[in-house]
Amino acid sequence: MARYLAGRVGQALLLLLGVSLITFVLLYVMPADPARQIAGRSATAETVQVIREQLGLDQPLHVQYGRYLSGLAQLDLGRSYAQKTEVSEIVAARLPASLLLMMAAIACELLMGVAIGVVAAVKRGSRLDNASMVASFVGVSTPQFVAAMLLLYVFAVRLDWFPVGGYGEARHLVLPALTLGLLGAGWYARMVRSCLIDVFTQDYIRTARAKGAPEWRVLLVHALRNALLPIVAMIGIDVGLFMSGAVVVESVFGWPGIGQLAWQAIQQVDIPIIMGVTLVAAVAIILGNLLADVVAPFVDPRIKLRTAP
Amino acid sequence: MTLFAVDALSVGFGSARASVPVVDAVSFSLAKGETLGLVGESGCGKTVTVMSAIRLLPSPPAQVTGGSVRFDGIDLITAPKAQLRALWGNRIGVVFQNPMTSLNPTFTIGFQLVEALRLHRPVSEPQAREQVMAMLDRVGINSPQRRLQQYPHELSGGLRQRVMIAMALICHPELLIADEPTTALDVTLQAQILDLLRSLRDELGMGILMITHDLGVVAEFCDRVAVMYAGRIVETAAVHELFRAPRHPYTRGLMESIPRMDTARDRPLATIEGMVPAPGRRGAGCAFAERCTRALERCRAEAPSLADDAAHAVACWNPAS
Ligand SMILES: Nc1ncnc2c1ncn2[C@@H]1O[C@H](COP(=O)(O)OP(=O)(O)OP(=O)(O)O)[C@@H](O)[C@H]1O
Ligand SMILES: [Mg+2]
Repeated sequence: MARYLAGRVGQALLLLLGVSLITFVLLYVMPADPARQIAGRSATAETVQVIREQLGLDQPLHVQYGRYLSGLAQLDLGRSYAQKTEVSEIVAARLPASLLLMMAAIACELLMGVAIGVVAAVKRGSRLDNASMVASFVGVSTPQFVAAMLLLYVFAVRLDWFPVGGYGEARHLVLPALTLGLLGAGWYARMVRSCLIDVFTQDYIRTARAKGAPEWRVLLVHALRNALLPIVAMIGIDVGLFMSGAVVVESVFGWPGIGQLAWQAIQQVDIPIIMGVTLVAAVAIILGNLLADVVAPFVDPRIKLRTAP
Repeated sequence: MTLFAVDALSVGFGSARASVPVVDAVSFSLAKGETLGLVGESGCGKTVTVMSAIRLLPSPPAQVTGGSVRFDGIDLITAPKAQLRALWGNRIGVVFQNPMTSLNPTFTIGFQLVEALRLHRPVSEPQAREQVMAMLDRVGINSPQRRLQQYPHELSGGLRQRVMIAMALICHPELLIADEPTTALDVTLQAQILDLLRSLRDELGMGILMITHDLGVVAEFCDRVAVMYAGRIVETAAVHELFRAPRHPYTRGLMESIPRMDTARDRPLATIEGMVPAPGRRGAGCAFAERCTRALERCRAEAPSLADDAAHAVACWNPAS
């Protein structure tokens, strides 16, 4: 286990290095000028030049990147251009909100997706099955902002059950988590359904019936356990996805998470924040996958932990 | 006293309107403690007959289109699911054809065996483990304590089949259905498993329905035998009687195609020419007529039926005598 983790950490570090380089280069070649952004529209060319020199933005790319890396090696993500505080502090302040939203969204899509998938698989070919597969298709193909706006309009504006936005109480969490969860549930439902339909044809399901196990037990114990592995892999993916990619939902609902921070930073050309957020996203994706891989042997005993070649 | 009686059972696949008949009016019965062999080549419908008789074949697509099945007086065809579940694994044990895929890969052997017992007996978990270990010991698995913690993929085929047998017998069923329990195993293992089943049969006094395509297994193991061809029983008799004087041309063909120690080496092994007609492509006459050396005009026009309740019944217009 220790060796396995060491290998994975090594891989992760290489990956982070790559991600940081690519992001850095992209931000460098971007036409927007951070110095001009900080100085403001009315600033003179000299002022902009002074700021540019202060931030070291006049240096060639490799020097800038080298400086960034040496900071990174000391766990220093730099300072925000716009807020003049440490990037690590700003990002850390945003993490709890993102974590909370991620967990709520995953719980939501898991519950709905698995329930729908199980029912559809058991009743396959029925109208209920068809209806739920159409619904999940709509789910996976609806853009997040459309779903967010719809929920906002119906449950916040018309019915007034939940606030239009904000953070701090449980009721603030409902609509953003539901937006992500409803859309994600479609993926889970489709996967659970097809997985279960395959498992139903396996010999060991017949064995379970031949023992005299009641149908619910055959389904929820013997069959579902064998459909668990892809579910775990999908949760691993979603951990990374929701930590980094909830930009739209966080912006619509004013949810103070990483996604909202990223959105603001991009508008302000706040390069250190953009870099920081990108790295956090990469770490989240890596951790999500690692989590899925470490859990896999417990879900399916035929799998053994093994460092990828 | 009859334990299990299948009477004119017909089974088809597909929808009620367009169903392809696979099993056609099959009848046989099994007395308490008796062993009946059901033989026939691959695809003739042995598994479908027996599994649909005990209602373990998923329906749809399988459909019982006629006949009745009684187990100890209970009509299995009309029995509600709850009543069937109380029989399955309890009074009727099943060992399936393929031990490699019949155990759930994600649960330990212990879990699966304990479950089989506790579904029917009000015993505590520790008591169940005791009984399971005793049963594993009985089917010849050593260090059962350790085996309980293992997963199916950690066991060899022979061990898995022993586990399947232990699972089928854990509640001491009155009827054991063994669907080719040795086909997937190598020859030495086959002999071991048959020995095991024999001694358990004598110990527990259960009736066994042994499905096989191996006449050697029948000769060694069964009291009576029913020979199946293309979804029908073509001949049934006591084992020694059948081997002494097989009457149906198909049965004779089967026996001649068994390699024997005393046949000359250079003589080619006898085979039955042709192929089994596929379900749905069986004509009006005897299904074997196309391949039969003794076929008459009548055989192609009219299907013969099995003579009722004779000690040695044969469904043939021109049987050997
Ligand atoms: N699910 C199914 N759908 C359609 N046809 C089926 C199905 N299962 C079995 N059959 C058909 O029923 C016939 C009998 O199959 P069955 O499995 O009973 O043969 P068997 O005698 O047990 O053969 P084997 O010795 O290979 O196990 C075969 O022709 C097969 O194609
Ligand atoms: Mg079979």
